[in-house]
Amino acid sequence: MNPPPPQQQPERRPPPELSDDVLAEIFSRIPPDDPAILVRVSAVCKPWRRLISGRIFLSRYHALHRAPPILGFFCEEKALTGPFSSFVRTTSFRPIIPDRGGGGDGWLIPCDSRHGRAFFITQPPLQLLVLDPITGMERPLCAPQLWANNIKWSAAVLCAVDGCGHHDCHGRAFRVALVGTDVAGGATHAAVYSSETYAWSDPTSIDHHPNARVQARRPSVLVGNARLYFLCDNNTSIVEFDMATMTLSVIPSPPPLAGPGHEDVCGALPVTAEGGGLGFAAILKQSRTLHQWSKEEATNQWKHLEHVRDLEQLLPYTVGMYGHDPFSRTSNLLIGFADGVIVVRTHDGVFTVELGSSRPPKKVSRRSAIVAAFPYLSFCTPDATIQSQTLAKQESSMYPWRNIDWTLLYPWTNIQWSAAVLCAVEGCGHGHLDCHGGDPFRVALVGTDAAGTTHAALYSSQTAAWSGPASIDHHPDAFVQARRPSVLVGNALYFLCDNTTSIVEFDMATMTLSVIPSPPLPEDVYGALLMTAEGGGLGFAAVLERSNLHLWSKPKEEWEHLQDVRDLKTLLPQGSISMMNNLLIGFADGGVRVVVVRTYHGPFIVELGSTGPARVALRRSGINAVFPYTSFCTPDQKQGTMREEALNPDHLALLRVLFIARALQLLPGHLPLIGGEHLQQPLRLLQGGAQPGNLQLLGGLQRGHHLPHLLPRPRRQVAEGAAGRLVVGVLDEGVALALVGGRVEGGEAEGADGADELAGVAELGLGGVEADVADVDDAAAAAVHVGHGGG
Amino acid sequence: MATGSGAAAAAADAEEKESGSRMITLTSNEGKAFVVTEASARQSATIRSMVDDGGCVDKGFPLPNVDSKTLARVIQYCDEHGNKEAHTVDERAALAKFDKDFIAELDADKAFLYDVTMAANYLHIQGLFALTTQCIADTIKGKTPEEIRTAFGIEYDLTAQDEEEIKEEDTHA
Repeated sequence: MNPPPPQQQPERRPPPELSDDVLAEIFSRIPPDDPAILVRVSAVCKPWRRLISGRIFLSRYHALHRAPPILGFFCEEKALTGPFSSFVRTTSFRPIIPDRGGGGDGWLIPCDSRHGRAFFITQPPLQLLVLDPITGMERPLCAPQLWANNIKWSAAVLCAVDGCGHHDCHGRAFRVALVGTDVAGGATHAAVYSSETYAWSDPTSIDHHPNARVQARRPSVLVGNARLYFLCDNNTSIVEFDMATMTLSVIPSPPPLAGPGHEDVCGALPVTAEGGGLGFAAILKQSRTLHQWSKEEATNQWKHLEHVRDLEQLLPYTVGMYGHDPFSRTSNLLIGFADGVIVVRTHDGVFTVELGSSRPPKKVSRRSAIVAAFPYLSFCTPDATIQSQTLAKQESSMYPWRNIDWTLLYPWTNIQWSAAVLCAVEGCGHGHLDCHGGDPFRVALVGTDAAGTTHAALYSSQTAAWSGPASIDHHPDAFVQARRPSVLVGNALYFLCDNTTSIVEFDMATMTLSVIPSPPLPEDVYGALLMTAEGGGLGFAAVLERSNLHLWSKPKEEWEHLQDVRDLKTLLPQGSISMMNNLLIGFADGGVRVVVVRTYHGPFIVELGSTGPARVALRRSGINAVFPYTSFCTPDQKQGTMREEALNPDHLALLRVLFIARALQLLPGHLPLIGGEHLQQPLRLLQGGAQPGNLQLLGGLQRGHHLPHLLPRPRRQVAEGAAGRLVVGVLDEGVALALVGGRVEGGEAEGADGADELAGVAELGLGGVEADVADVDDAAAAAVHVGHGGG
Repeated sequence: MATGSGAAAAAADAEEKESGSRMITLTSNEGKAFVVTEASARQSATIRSMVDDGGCVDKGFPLPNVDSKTLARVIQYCDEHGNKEAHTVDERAALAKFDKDFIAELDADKAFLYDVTMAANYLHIQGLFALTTQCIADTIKGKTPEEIRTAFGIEYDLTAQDEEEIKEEDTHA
């Protein structure tokens, strides 16, 4: 009949344009196990970006590739200081992980990973955290207090959405099952947490079953939607937890392991059998072979599978290297499984072995101390990360301070919080400039719940307890903006409300909340921010008329508009003013009062009372709140290789960069120059021999052998001058880092331990000239402009 | 049996039917007629459904979206896959080798490869479409965004904001 109808075809020009249909087909053929490719493709142009982040493409992509790939493993490693966690990458994927992964008390240790999420646990005191490693969303869970510290828990985290394909359930409802045996009493307990009710179910228990000691923090098997299986310590039995009926029961392991005269094993693990039922894998010590079983639903019997693999042949090191030290019954070489793959620990590292295939094992890590591996399977398409930014705004990702008792928060989980942390020492010297370490502090939380009630509570580190809460019910204007800077005036904290027309005042002395109006503002406000006025009272800043920065102060009851209106257009690079309506993202008063303005080129620092151009703080435009960290940061005395008098205004300029980076949580907390007890040297050092810096750029410094082998050819740049030495580099996460020090002995900045993590090249010029920490590597580009210090 | 594309082009106006197999005429957007066997034409789901619907086979099918050069190449693929058997291992190996050579040749001329891809999509020739899109996907895999833009003649249109987003994605992907 008729020929196919002509399509809308743009004019032909070489190379021809491809239709969305064709492009979608091309993109869907890009393998999911290297997420970086799709990110690169989405960076080509807007239409491509839209296509890749669109629902239609994604469902096509998920349908074509069916099972999500293994992006890596969350691992528990043993160290002398205790267990710590790590992520072993098998693709280019890098998870967003909490900055509390390594060693010591209260560190998060992985406990499970399933349906795109990971679950961490600390013990003791018990803290639980659900993490979406793609979006970075964290959900701390409150552990029921009654559960004593001497229970060793295993856990399972799973999507709670019926009929979900688990390809893309970021941000959706989840459940967490905890199963653990009381070390003292021997009873095994289990309970389920629901993200929808924010509550734990009533626990269920089996009392003193002789075999039912559940192994702690080991992989579990999910069969169907509700049945979980956890292996017991002696490998002879398995605890079944049915979440639908909330019942615990104990079933025996396959015959060679259970029963009288059982064989010794040096590795056992329940796995998912082909078809989704319960399976079991074990390494029999005698024959050094890897065996598999599946549980027959009909007969309730274990069936031995024929595919036996010779471990000696498969992984010669496993056996050979241990030599005279044969595995004890408790050592376990099987540390994880996923999707037809089992993870085997050897002296030579960690390998994945495909079950039911004869392919050689694949080495995924050289680290031999890994004792549990939870595979992280997910599609990581650019879409997920775009969504994450919205989601992260919706769902508060609170970072619970360690050592703080969060129990007060428990009924309040629905609230978007703002907070303030402050020194609690009366008449603290140096005006809170040097109150590090053991000095007591207070934390104030203020937030509005969905019903419109605003709550406030105060934590004191001295009593380790919360006071309050205070509340204002249903005040129409009192929706406190979540996670935005607050202002402390006297004993009162001020938080801006969502509509910017009112301000919540929290008087910490009387524990009362009240609402005061903002200065009269026109309808179109492009940014509003609370600040301290000159002299210490409450101040207010707003951007009106698209780019004019207006300031107010509130000496008494009334707001006073200040004459000094400044046009941001004249202060910021042309065209950089963001079209967002929250241009003002932070404020600091550290001698010089500065407002932080959000632009397309990243946050800029505008100095109030100066007419100089604004300085860029960081080249990241997604930042929507800045909490400046002001402190004097001086070299650590203990390291002894630095001369303190070397600090000068240029150093200060760099320190500001550091403060912001730190406040934005871009820097890991353990860097020695900026944190904790190391900040002991007060102001006088800075005031001492400060001279205009004449630092010059030196060549790159190679110290490859000190750096983790994962990092690409590490280099850093050192600037040296009469005044001292600066080191600037880029961390693996794309973080610009500057270390400041006096002259360093031995030609290398040995004093700065943190510098070992530096990678990449940075260019740095100083002495009043704006300088770039230039593009370092395309995955982790970060740039810092260092303005001249004095202002 | 197989009507090579060259031969088809030479016999531009040929309408006669060979004994034993119906011939179908496809006309490019430049008005050039290509005579192919029905088996060859049936590689295209678009044409197959029209033939099965009892369309006017005699009048031929004008293809307003496909130019002569592209159509000739598409027909080369269809002839190979439509007219040859693929029952034995050897036959399948021969076809696989044909595909490999076919795509290698196309790959050398990207603009032409995209033309053929668009035509394969338009004509719903599943095998050819899979072959060309896989080839393009493989090319994309190892390229930076800038290289991809060059290869596809795409203008740079991302704002600084977009770039930032992408960088953030990239840091953990």
